[in-house]
Amino acid sequence: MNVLVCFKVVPDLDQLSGSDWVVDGCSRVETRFIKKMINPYDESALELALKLANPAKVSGITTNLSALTIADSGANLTLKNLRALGYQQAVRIESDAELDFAPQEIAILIAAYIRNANDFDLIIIGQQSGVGDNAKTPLLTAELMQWPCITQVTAIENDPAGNVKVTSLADEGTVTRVIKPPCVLAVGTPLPFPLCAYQPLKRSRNRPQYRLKPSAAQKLEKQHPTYRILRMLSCLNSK
Amino acid sequence: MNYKVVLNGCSPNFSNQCSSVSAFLISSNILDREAQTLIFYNNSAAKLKLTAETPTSLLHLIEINNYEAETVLSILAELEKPNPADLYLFPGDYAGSELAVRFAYRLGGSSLAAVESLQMDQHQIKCTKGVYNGYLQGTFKLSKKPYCLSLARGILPNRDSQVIEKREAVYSDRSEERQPAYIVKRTVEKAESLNELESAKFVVAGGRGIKNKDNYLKLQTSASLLGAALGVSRPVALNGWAPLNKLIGASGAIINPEICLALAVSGSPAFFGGIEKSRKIIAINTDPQTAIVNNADVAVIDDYKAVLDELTRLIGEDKNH
Repeated sequence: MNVLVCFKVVPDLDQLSGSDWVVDGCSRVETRFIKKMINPYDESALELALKLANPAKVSGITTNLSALTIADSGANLTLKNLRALGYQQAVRIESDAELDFAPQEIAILIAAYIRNANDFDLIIIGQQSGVGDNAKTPLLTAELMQWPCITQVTAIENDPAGNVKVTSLADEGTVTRVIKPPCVLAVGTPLPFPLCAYQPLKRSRNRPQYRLKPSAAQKLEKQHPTYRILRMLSCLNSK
Repeated sequence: MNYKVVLNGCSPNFSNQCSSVSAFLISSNILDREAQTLIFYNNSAAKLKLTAETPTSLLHLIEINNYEAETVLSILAELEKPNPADLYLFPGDYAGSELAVRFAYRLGGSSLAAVESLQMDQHQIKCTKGVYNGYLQGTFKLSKKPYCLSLARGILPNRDSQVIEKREAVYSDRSEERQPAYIVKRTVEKAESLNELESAKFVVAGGRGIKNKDNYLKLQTSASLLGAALGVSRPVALNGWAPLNKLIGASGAIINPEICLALAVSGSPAFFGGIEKSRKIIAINTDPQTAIVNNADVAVIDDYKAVLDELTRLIGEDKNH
């Protein structure tokens, strides 16, 4: 089974103090100087994929893991660490564009990559990330691919019959589905004990594989964004 | 600008969906007698009950076999595509947040999740929502109809709720619709929910500063002695000190107790959004500069353990007298 996990390296916004929250004329906040981390929802997605692959290896099922990010070269170290953790492919789509409020453009790039690779069974993505708080990327990726989507996923296991068992939270309780891939899985709940943080890293000899700029075809596929941000106000001391 | 509301009648939180959408409609001043609510339900015995609290007088109840997003989406797109409304409102629960985005895509419209407020005129709508982990509030202009909005979680019922004297309902039966082909087997287990936290009158919330699992367990005992429900912030759950169903905040419970005792919590917006509806917030923290101290109604600058020990001792004494 071929699994693609999409992730994003984000600023740890809790590190910003009150006076750092200055919104510039382009509705942005300067975050380049603070510590970066894997978006916690994406970290859970990366973790779930590792948990899926490790027992599969023991029972003789081959699970190939790929990690994909759309970022500038600042994400390279994370890609390298993911290679050391067991991701066979670590791919970066080169971009220095401001995509925090452009989930549709991100989904288009992810979908173009999936179509180009044409061999993924599962796509696992965090439900949302901190800056844009859009909560749209996995849903739009599923729509663009015309694949089903399961949200609020908390566990993924291999099923003996070659299917995948997916556990997720729903408004009516916990839903367990045995599914036939392909499918997009959105992870919306943090998992305790993220493996990425605790598993000792082996030095990766293999360089991460980087993809370069999105092709002209992908650019053509871009649609006009369906919304734009007008202004931002501070919520600090709102009570 | 006409609108429709889409609700999940299969969910036990149906009543909350109705009250949060009603409150949103009142605060946005967009009440319309011609508006319709579409309700997907799977228990025909309870369908009359579903019509009692709806936010509009015109209803369309659609019976389905069970709530699967793929099934609901295809029925909704089929029903609405020929003559879409300008605006669709979805509650901010799991189902509504998903449907709003995917339905907008299928109808070629625009969507926004976790919307807190809405302003609209004949030509455009502007919405506000939390961005940057809730540290900022962004105002967004949506450009393509139909506009599909899922509401922010934790919108409380409005005291000036509208009175709907008569409701008119039409029914459709789509219960014969097949389960989506990609699902081989499906089971639902009613899990231990966050409802205990969400309905509690007194909540003790522990943050990163409790430092370890042993302290969490001690906190559990203290909360029990105080008669409070216990919740935690994200770092406590992420470190595995507490189970996930104790999580308060953007990914967990949105609580509205009479009193929330926030212990060793930094008060990041993602967490604060979960407790801000509390009537009184009492923060206990060693750091006077931390955000929770600024946002609480009462702040005690001290080690939470010392304060909690004294509090439980006093309550114990009180009980003994």
